[in-house]
Amino acid sequence: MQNNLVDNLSANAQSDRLDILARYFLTSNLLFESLRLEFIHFDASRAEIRIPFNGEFELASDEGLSTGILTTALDSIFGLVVLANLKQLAPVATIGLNVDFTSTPRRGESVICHAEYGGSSEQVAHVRGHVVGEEHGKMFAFGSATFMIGTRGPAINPIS
Amino acid sequence: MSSTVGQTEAGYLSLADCLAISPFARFLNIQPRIDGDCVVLKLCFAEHHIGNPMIRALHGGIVASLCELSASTLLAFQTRAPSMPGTLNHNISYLRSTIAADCYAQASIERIGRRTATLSARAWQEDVENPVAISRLTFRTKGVFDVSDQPPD
Repeated sequence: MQNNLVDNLSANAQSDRLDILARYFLTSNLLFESLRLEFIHFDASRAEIRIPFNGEFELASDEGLSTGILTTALDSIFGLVVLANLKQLAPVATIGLNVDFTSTPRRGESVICHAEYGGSSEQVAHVRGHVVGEEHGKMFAFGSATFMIGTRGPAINPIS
Repeated sequence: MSSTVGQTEAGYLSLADCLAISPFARFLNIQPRIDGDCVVLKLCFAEHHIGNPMIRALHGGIVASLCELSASTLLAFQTRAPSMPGTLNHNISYLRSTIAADCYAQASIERIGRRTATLSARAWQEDVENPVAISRLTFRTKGVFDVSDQPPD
């Protein structure tokens, strides 16, 4: 496994990069805006985001957030943590994702998604994380993902 | 594998009503179609399905959600369950990059047991023979329906 590449950047450069990534993450597309994600913590090694309850994401009326939206949130935050660890920003793509669902959020319950960088080797990065309820910290899902770094497509430049 | 994607609306049966009451299915903009014993779900492209606006690819979580819904819908349909089964595990492999276009998913039942059911699903866009993702899913069956009513595997 290679070292956390962001460690090689100055503290200011790291902070600027994370700010740019966080802003890009929150404002770059309609999906993330729909999720109304809120950052709780974000550094190169881990991220925490809050997803407020939204009835639009119930699988059935009067249920909690769907497992699909938990998967979507995990995939999103996993990708963000991978991007935060790149020496030079490049497109990344999920190549594998595994999620176990241990329980279902109740209607009205907001959730917190955690992601932790697991290292990288030869253009493949690994991340793990979980989803808990905001109110009682009950575990709803945990999982891991593998990302390919430098996939096809234009380089990501959130500054421009 | 169904080859009827894109055909008339005649194949869209009451399953559409089941999904119509699901807020998340409406958010995903999903249309179901039943072809014999097969259920094909169509994710009608919308801008909020994009994960990375720079490369205009569908979000991996959206594709995963489509696969999961195709599996849970098939399981509920085949077993005449009164509600959607709960997902226990979802393992998805992304095989190809996606484009900003409609996406389809079809699931198949591997086994329905007394307490859990295992299904697989595949998603594709332009070519059914070139899936963009394949999934393996486990659902909880106990409490969702009476297993004695299940068809043989």
